[in-house]
Amino acid sequence: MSLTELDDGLVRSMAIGAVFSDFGGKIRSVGFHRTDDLLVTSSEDDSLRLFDIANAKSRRQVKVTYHKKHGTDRVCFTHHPSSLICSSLYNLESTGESLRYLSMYDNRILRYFKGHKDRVVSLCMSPINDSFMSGSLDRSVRLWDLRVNACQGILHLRGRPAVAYDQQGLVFAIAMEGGAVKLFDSRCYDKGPFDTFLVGGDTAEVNDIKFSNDGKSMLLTTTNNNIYVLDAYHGEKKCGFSLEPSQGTSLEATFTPDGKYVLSGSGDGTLHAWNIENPSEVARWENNIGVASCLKWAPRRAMFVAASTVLTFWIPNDGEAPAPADPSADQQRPQ
Amino acid sequence: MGLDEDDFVFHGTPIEREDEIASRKKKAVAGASGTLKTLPAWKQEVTDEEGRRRFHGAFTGGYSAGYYNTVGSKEGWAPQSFTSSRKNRAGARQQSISDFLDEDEKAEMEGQSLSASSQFDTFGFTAAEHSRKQAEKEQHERPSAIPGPVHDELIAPAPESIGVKLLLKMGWRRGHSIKDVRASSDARREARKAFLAFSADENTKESSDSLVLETEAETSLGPQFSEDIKFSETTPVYVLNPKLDLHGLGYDPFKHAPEFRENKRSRLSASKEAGYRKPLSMKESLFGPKSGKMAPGFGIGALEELDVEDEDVYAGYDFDQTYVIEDEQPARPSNDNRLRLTSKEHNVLPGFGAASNSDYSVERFDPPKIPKDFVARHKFSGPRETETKPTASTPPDVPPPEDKNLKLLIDGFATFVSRCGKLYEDLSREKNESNQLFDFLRGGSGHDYYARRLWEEQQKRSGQSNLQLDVKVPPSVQKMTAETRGSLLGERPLQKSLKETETSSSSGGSFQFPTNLSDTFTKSASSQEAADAIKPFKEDLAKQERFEQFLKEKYKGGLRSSDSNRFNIVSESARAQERLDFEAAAEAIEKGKAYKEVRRATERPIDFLAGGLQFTSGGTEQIKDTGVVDMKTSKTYPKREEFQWRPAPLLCKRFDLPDPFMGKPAAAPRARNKMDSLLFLPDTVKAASGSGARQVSDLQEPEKEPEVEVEVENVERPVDLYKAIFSDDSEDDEEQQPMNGKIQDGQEKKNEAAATTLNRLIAGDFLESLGKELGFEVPSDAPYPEGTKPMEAENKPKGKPDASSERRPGLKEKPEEKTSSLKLVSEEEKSTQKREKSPRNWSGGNDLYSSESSGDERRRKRSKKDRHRNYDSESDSSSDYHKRDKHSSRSRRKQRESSREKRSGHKKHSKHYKTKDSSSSRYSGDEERKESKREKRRRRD
Repeated sequence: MSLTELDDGLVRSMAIGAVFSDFGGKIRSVGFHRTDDLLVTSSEDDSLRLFDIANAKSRRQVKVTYHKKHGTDRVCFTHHPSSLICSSLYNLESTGESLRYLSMYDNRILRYFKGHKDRVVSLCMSPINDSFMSGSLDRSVRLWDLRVNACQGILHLRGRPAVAYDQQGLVFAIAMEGGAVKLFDSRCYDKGPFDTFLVGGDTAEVNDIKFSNDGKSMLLTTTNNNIYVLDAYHGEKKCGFSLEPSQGTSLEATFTPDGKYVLSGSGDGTLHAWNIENPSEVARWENNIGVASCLKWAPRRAMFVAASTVLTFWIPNDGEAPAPADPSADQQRPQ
Repeated sequence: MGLDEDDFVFHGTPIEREDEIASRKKKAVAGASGTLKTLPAWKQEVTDEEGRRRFHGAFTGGYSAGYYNTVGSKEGWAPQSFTSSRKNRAGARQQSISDFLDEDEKAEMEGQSLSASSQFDTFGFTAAEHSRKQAEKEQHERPSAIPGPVHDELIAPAPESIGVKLLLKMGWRRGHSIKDVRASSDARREARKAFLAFSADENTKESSDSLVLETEAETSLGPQFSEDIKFSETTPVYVLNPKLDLHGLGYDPFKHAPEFRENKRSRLSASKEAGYRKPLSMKESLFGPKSGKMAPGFGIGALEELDVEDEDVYAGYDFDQTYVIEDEQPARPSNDNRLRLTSKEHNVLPGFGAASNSDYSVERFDPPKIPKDFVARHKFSGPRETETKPTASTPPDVPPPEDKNLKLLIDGFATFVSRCGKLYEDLSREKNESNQLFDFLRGGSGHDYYARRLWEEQQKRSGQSNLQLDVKVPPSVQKMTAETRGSLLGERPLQKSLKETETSSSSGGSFQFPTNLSDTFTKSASSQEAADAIKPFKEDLAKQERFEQFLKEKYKGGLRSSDSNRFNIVSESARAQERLDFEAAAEAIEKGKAYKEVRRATERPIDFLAGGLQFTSGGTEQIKDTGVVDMKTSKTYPKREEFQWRPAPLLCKRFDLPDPFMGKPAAAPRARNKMDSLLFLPDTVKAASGSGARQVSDLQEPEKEPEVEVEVENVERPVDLYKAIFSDDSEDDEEQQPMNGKIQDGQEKKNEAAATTLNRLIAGDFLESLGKELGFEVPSDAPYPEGTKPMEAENKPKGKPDASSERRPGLKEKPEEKTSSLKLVSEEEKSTQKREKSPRNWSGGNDLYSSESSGDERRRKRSKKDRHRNYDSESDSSSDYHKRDKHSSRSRRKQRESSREKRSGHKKHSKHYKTKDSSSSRYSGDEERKESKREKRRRRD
């Protein structure tokens, strides 16, 4: 079965296809590989788990590694399917090893990236080259290169930063407290932002920022549970959604690969899907796993994962079990 | 050995054992940097890693080989894929002999071994195929942007079949038929040799011989010669008969006239004969057998004469493996020619018999038949026919009715109907069923006159068109009156009475109205108004002018003239008010017109056109509505707007283009509306937009616009105040002028001003700090209501485009400021900066601000500092920079810089009293830097 397009019906039909509940705590972050069918999760039991999202259920969980010394917080794949960047939780003051470059293949730390004085809350890998960005609670955003353990660039701002590369890797966005979004050219970031938007009306800290695959929209999640879809070119709000407040957990929202839908968890334990082309709520799912703090749509599949203390794989439910479709067709839309 | 001892040369890459590496390495390093290169190659001595002299092999150069006579590089040959990973040690790697062989050696080796060529390598092929399939499958699984098969398969050239290769090896060449020519050619070669022996001296013999051969060939092989036949069998036609003409491919001009082809051939061959000698000789050999033969391929000079030496001594010697006869062959066209000649003799080609009856006949087609009733002229149905009708019966000449108005009306109406056709008459008759005024349409008073006028008008028109077409004038010519003839000829009729002139002039005036209807209308209206002195805004001439413009626009329709932009001077609210006034006035005028029973009858028909007949009844009522409606209707009026499109910066980045508006003030509409919404929005709006509503989509609130507009004007004051305080420099004035909402000429300068972001940052920060220091209340909250944005962007007049881009006053600061330290600094830079200006850098500089009272203040200062770190030196130099003549004409960039400096110069004060006492040494360093900066700038300028 192959899908060429996501539509309302399909989004509505998404249902839990697999559940992994052997996590020893809440899941802190999940990350998909851009091209391979891989998923990595980091959870409170200081484990990193690698999943194969395309294969049969029994083999899904590929690898588990524990990182008791540093802990695992934010995690994201590099371009290599077995290399990860993971941010640390413990011993930050003493070691400063806030970011680690891990090889899951032989379970080694390839490199430490030292610099952040506090927890990293936003981590983003460039889609085109080896550079990546991290935003930390020490109010700085640092730009790194995987090949060098020295920081390539640093940016001091106020409050909690959120960083995101766009899909072309040409531009990255940094969102900060007060709803300001700054766009930088990733090739000459030292020239300062080339564009600045202000997302008024909500001065809460920005939790997360994301570009849609087509580059036309940005998704801004704030700490007081509002989600805004912004026009990436002019920064105008296309639509905004507010969610039930969730205590202690930050929610995550995600675009579908075609950039037409936005999914998010909510504080009351439900999941929502909105169509953003003509803003309307498409679907709402009762989630049996509690508040989904992590939610990501697979970049090339018609599936998403939602995670709280358990990890759930959501796939279109139309008879057949796992339906690895190819929204990559949607990805090929002209950007 | 001294120094030379260290000179050594590497050959190849040694496989090193780790314990030895360390000791050797030193030497290697020393050697690499040594005097190795200075010595010529033959003087270099080969040493090994230990520095021992190494015998290099007697046959390759002995002790002093160096790179001499070797592969010639320091690397030498390297074992294939030598990996020196510390983790994956190059263990027991399987090395084959081929790893150590050169290319040529490999080739040798392969010459001995037996392997299938790519042609027959089924395995290789299948492997390739397999991999291709695999790729395809993969692609299928994961479709990419380009579907379909792999492309190189499509493009790959088809290899030659083995059969062709074999044939080629055996001596076959392309274009030849596959036939055993060897036997015959062997025999011929023998014959040729024998023949050559004769031909040296015996001309006659030879020629006769050739003749014999020729006839032989002819008889045996038919029309062509044996070799030729073989050629022509497989040689493509385009080789035999290269296309020399300019006709299209496949086109044969002589298809149906072969006799002309013959002509042309002979002409061609004739022209060739002028250039060549060979055809000539051929001809001679044909017709005069005693002539000498030319060697093929050897011509003679133009001034030379054909003599004995030029005779073909090796006549028929085979260059092309062809038989001797070929030499006697004429060039191909003439060959044909000769064939033709012979065929002409017998009327058939040799070997063919003439057919007794010919099937050949040219099929001819008759042209299609024209229907009998076809007239080669197009007739137009419609008004023209209706026009011609009344000519049949000419209504009698009737005196005009007593009522002058009625007469005018009838005249105008007749003119109009004659122009627009009878249909219009019917229409208006229907429409004005109850209107007394139009009784003449229904046979009331004045009907006769109307009929007459109508007829006259139609005559006039048809006469014109008839004149144009030069068609016979209908029989009513003899009844033509002097008046009609006069009007027909364009004469000005003699004046019977005053009325008469009026009508004629009016009709003449309105004669052109279909083309520029609106002009005539407005003209007449204005003239009438002038006459009647309907000038509602007499006291204000400009306003009256605008009113006329407004009337024109109102009834004109179509495109708006661009000079409506004039009104932009007036603010939006004032304009709205004025528009209301205008509407009211226009309504009054209309009403007056309607109820005055249409004194100006000529205007009526035009009036109909303009507004339709309902205009008087329904239209007035519509206008009677209150101003609110009017506002709305006028809003919906299609309006052409001009604005400069500028791409979003992100768009430029995405397309990897330099932003054409880089460094120019930000997009006017967007920035303005941002500013407006930030600055001047009433609290209600703020509150409304403050809450993150559930699915907030952009609402457009057009009503808000005037409000905002008005407030823009109010805000001028604080800036004026700033200006008053810092008004001593002219550049600043330029910078701030846009605040006043005027398009000023300094715009260009500003367009080249600093990058927008910088400007914004600086301006914003500046204002904020200024506000704080002057004790102004700077609102701290800067919500950004999304509702108002887009509409404002669209509706704002272009008048004040730059106000916000240059300066984002007060309210905007907060969010801006937060981001103010947004300057990504590379680490190295940072460290150097740290070294340079340690008192100031932000990581170490915190203690500096401990004296500051409020944390907020500190933060602000700090952020400012961060931002302007880059401009520090500039701002430092700004003070004396100002002392130099400010008003001298500097380059624009300088202006920009200096203005920026001025702004930051203000901050500089607060900065300097700190830095001065903290580190005077640094300050002097600053001085120096400033000096150099200035120097640089001078040079740049």
